[in-house]
This record gives sequence, structure tokens and C-alpha cells, in this order.
Amino acid sequence: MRGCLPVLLALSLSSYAATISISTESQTFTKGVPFIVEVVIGGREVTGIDLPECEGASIGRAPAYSSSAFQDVNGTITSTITLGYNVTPDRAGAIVIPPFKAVADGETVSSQDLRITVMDAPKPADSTARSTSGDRALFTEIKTDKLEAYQGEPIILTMEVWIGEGAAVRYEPTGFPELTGFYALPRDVASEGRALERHETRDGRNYKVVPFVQILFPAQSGELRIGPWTWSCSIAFGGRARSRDVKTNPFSINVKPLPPPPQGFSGSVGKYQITSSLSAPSTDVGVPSMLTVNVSGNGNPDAIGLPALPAIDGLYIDEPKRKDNAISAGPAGQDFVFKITPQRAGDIEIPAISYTYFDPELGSYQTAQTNPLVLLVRGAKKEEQVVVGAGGEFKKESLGSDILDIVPSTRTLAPEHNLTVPTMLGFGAPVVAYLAFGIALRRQRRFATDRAYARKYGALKRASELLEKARQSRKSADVLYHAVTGYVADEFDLPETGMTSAEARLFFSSQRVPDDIAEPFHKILKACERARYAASELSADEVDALIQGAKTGMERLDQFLRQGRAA
Amino acid sequence: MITALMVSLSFCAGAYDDAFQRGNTAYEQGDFAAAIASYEQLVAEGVVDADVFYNLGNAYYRENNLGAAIMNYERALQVAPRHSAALQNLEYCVAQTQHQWGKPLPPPWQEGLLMWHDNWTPGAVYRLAVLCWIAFWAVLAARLWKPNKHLTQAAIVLALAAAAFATSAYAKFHPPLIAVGTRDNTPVRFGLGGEDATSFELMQGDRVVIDARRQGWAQVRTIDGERGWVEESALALVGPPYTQPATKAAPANVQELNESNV
Repeated sequence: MRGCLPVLLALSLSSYAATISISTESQTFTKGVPFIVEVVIGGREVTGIDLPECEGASIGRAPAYSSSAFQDVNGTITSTITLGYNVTPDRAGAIVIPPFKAVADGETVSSQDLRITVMDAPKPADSTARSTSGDRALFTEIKTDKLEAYQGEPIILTMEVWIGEGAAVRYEPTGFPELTGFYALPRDVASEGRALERHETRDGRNYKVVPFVQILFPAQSGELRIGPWTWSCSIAFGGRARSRDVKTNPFSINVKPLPPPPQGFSGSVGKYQITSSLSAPSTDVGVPSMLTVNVSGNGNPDAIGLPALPAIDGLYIDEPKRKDNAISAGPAGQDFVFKITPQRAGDIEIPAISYTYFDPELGSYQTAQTNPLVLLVRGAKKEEQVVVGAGGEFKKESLGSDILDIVPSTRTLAPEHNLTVPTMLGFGAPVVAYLAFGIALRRQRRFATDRAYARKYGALKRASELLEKARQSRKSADVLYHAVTGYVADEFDLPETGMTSAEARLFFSSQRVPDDIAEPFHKILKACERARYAASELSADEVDALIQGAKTGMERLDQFLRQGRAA
Repeated sequence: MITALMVSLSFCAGAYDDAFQRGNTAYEQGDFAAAIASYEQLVAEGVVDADVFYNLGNAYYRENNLGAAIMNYERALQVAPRHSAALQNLEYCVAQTQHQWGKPLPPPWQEGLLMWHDNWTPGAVYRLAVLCWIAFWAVLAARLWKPNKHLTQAAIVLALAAAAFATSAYAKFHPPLIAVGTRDNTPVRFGLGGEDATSFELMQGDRVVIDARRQGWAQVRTIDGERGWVEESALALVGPPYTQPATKAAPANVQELNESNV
């Protein structure tokens, strides 16, 4: 007995006859393609199974799957064990699978034999061009999934690089062969190639295969040529590195024209489906909703045409917006988003939307349809709302199907003022005020801290006031004397007392005050000294003359000092 | 003299109110052309009031002039961004345009820096800018008189506030040049002049930004960034300045008024 089951079931069952049967899903299989032979054994205790030898096919030693089931039929419990074995036909023609045997409930049971028909594997389309370019270390291969196609039908172009084991290859991102007459989808083939790398054995040698896939859509009928594909790399093998250019041979695709199209043909070639959906199942009158129509399929996504949306009573339909779907995975498609605005209340049916395409597998035009949709439209909102103008709330009006009403103005209307002057004033005046304040504050602080400055600042004014008093004073000589010496002391920040006419002359001389300015002071002080020490009052005329002289002298000295300071 | 000036001003103000009331009465009686004439007269004489623009927009809407209506609602919202009635009517009118384009957005720097000022009126931000400016210098003066770190901090805050409000006021008084399409199916071409291919079509009520103006043509940009050249005669400028749109609904007496103003 060969091929024993590793696990045997021990079952306590009522009286039950052991059985065995085998079956397959079909009677016809393909050479080299494995299929399943299902073995069903009935019995309380199965202790082994014997797999037969089959001429023309090989039977897997271990089951691909197994299961057990129990049944209670009219109080009798039965059980079955199901085992699935892989069988691979080695030749074409009629093959007989001999009976399977099993030991169940202590007895050996045998199944019937099974007759199957094995067909040769279909020859792949002769669509492969290969260039080995001299040695087995590295070669490239370019092929398509079909050599004959309809105009617009997708063709998968596969470019493969076969790198022998032990070869170190450094290559640049690949280019494309010349594809005149084809529309090719733009794809990042270099990164995709690395992502799809695989390992294969060919002619007893291990290879790393780097594939690059491109989808082509014939844009015209006739014989379209796929040009040679050149692949450049630097290969190191056995310690030597050299540059290599590997070039495939060109080959042609026979492109058949499409049959005369029916009315409403979208222009798409391939297998397509169309669906539709609403952003919301219900809305209000005047409030738009979005109807999204999705068309997807395996054809050229850029050739997907706009589905024809019929005019629908009560709906205002805008021009749709397209949204491309990603083409990297799954069928490519496009969303068409229609903005639909209901213009009446009630249920509005959006009928089925058709999409006519050409199916190259069937060789005929097909029409896909969406399911009809219903949009529930509520009536316009009639509740009263308050109209709010710039000046406040005014009146009420129903909304929903009309604009809000006009508003009266509560403000006194007037032309807009030119803001140039207010702007200049508003922004300029604070700066000017700040500067003035700063100057005043600085002067005030200087008065408080700089005694000499403070004395100088009011010297002439104070002296002038004293001179005016001298005119009315009984002791005009004294007042005049104090006015003049006080002025000189203030101007030069000197102690006010004790300055005689002689000292004044000497002081002016030390200060390099010109004689014509200093002399009047000397004369006035001398006249005052005479009057004071002689105990005789000055006459009114003399006082006036001295006052006038003092004023003139002070002004000239003040002018001289200012000029000197400025210089 | 001052009294005479005051009396003259109040008389003028009364005249503007009368014109506004005349417009409202005409509107209520269904004489929308007369209402437009009254409101446009106010605008032509320099009255910049959100309610005037709003009522004018309503009158243009009743006259089936969607472009001019949208333009006037935009003006109302420019003057008073919180004018909810203008906002609602604008949305209502835009929903009736064929493209239903949104209003082109201001430059990114303005959106980022001034996102807080959308609901402020130009006058409000202007007054706040002046107030902050005056307060800034007052605080500086106080700091000069009696230095204090708190006054320094207050001065910095006030300076920043004044700068922000002044920038906002400038942006509000110098908004992007928005225009509204006044005709349907106006070709917007790839180049200046009528020779170039059509890039897209402008419909009545579509709002665009004008990037350049040359030889009676305007380079416009939509909210989606599409650009092209279109004849200026097919556009109504939102402003300022608030000129009257050259539309089919322009009443003769308003045109005369404008000509006399020129």
C-alpha cells in the first residue's frame, strides 16, 4: 500500500457500508496544466488509501486538500472524507485514470476508473522577438500579448532584460522602441521594471528578469511596426566590465479597422462599465446636487468619451467636470461630475445613461448602462427671513426662489470724502507732535540741568526788563548797573556781583570781544559808578541815553556771541 | 460761512437721500429702469454706500442683467463685507450663471497675512490704523517723558497693530481688479487681439481678475487659474473706481449724466 494518509479517522458509527468514488470538474484538460481529482471515501474508519500509477499523467503523492463531513440521515449517521489530488497530464490524447483504492472499516474498496481527454496546449501567438546579442550572459526580449488587434484595442508590450546568474549589470533607465502609429500610455517604466523583477531558469541557466511593461493603443489600421529596442548597460562578468548595447529585432502588429460605428459610439475600445451616483438622494429646489458618472474599463483612459446625459425635465444640468482615475492599478476610468439643479419639487428620475463601446474580444459594439436614479426634490424654503442691510434689519421676504428685497437706508447718504488730507493729517500730525514734544522736553531738561544755558537763554530779556525799571526807579544808576552787570554775568555764566567797569573791560578783552562792542559797557558802568559813588542821581536824559546805549550794546554783544557760537 | 457750509452740506445730503428714496419707490412700483437711473446717479456723484450698491444690484437683476447685478453685489460687499443680504443675493445670482465660478482669490500673501480682516469694512480698518498710529506716538512720547519697559512693549504692540491695520486698509482700498462678464459666450483668447485661438468662453456673471490691460483688451484670470485676453467692453469692473457698467440696461438719462460728469 502506497500513499498512506497521515491522519486516520476513528469513527463510531452505526452500520454503514464503506464506499469510494473519484471525479473531476471536467472531462477535457490541457497538457501540462494540473487539475484536481477529487476522491470521496465513505466509512466509519479509513486506515489508508492507495494511489494508482497513471500512464500519461502524474498524480501528486500528497493531497492538495482534505475535508470530512458527518450526516444524520433517518437516524443513521454517515461520514465522508474528501481528498483532492493534483494530476498533471504529460501527453495529449485519451487518458484513463485507474481506480483509487482505500481501506475503510477493515475492508478494501475500489473506485471506478476515469476517462479524460487531454488537449495540446494552445500555441502562444508568435509575437515574441528576441535578441541574445552574442552570449547567454545577457539578452533582451520584447513581445506583445497579441499580433493582431483592432484599432484602439489595448496591446501589452513587454520588454524584458534577462541577466544571467553571476553577471553584475549597471544600467540606465530604459527608453522605448520606435512606436509609430501607436498611442502609448505614459508610465514610469524604469521603476516599474525594478518592482516586477523575477527569477527564471531558461536552458538550464538561472536568470534575473527585469520586465518593463507598456500599454499601446493602435491609432490607425494596417501593419504597424514596433521598432528595435536598444538597451544599454555596463556588464561585469568574470571580473571584466564592458559596455553592451543589446538590440531586439523589429516586428509588426496587424491592426484591423473598426466596423462602422453605431450612433452614440463613445470612441472607446475595450471592455467598459458605467455607474452613476448622486451626492445626496434629496435636495431642495434651486439647491444643486452632484451626479457622478463613472466610466471604467481596460481601454485607453484618455479616449473615454463624455457619456450622453439626456435632457431631464425639471433639472438644469451644467457642463460636467472630468476627474481622471489612477491608471497604475485596476481598470482605468474617468468620473464625469454633473452639477444638476432641480427647478421643481417632487421626484425627478434620472434615466439610465448609456455608454457604447467596441468590444474587441466579441468583435462587436456593446452598450453598457447605468441604473436609473431618483432625486427627491423638496419644495423651496418659504420661511420668512430678515433682510439685513448695512444699517441693520429691515423687512421680511420669502426665500428660496427669488432674491431678497431692496433695503431702505437708515443713514444719511453723502459722497465719499477724499481721504488724502485726513490720511496725511492722521499719520503726519502725531509725528510732528511727537517731535515738538521731544524738543520741548529736551529744552526743559536742559534748563533744569544746565545752569549756564538757563542763564544765557533769558539774559537779554531779563536785562531789558531791568532797564525798563531803571527808567522809573529813583535809584536808576543802581538798577542800570545791576541790569548791565547781570546781563554780562548771565551771558558768560559769571558771579553777578563785584564787577567794576575796569574788570568788565579786562574781562571783555580776555574774551576777545571787540572794543567797539565792549566799550559801551565800560562807559555805562563807569557812569553808573560815578553816580553811585558821587551820591548824585543821573538826570532823566542821562538815564535814557544810558538805557538806549545799554540796549544797543547788549544786542550787539548778543549778536556777536551768537555768531561766535555758530562759528 | 461755516453755517452756510453746514446748511449746504445738509441740503446736499437730503438730495442724496431723496434720490435713493426715488429709486426705492421706482423699484417697488416695478419701474426698474428708473430705479437703476436713480441709484446710478448717486454712484456717479460719489456716493459709496453698500445699500445703494445692493439695491442697484437688485434692480439690475430685475432687468435680467445678471452681470451688472453680480458686479453691484460685489461692490456692496467690498464696502460692507458683512452685508448678509448682498451675500445671499450674490450667491443666488452666481448659482444662475452658467459656469458658477467662484470669486478669484486674492494673492497668497494677502490671504495669509490678512485672513483676519475679511469682515472688516475699509473705513473701520482705516480708522483703527490711524488710532493705533496716534496711540503709538503718544506712548512713545510718554516713554520719552518717563522711560518705562511697559511703555516700550506697548509701543511695539501698537506699532505692529498700526502696521497690520494700515496694510489691511491699503489692501481694502486697493483690491485686486475684479471684473464681471457682461455678455454670454465672450471668447477669451490666448493672445491679444482677435486673431488667436479661444482659450475659454466667458459667460455673463463670471468673475475674473484682471492682470493686465492693453489696447482695449484685458488679460483675465479665473479662479481655476485659466488665463486669456478678452475685450474690455465685455467686462464690468467692480472697482473702485465705481464706474457704471456699459450694459444693455443702462438708461439714457444715466448715460447723459455720466457724459455731463466727464
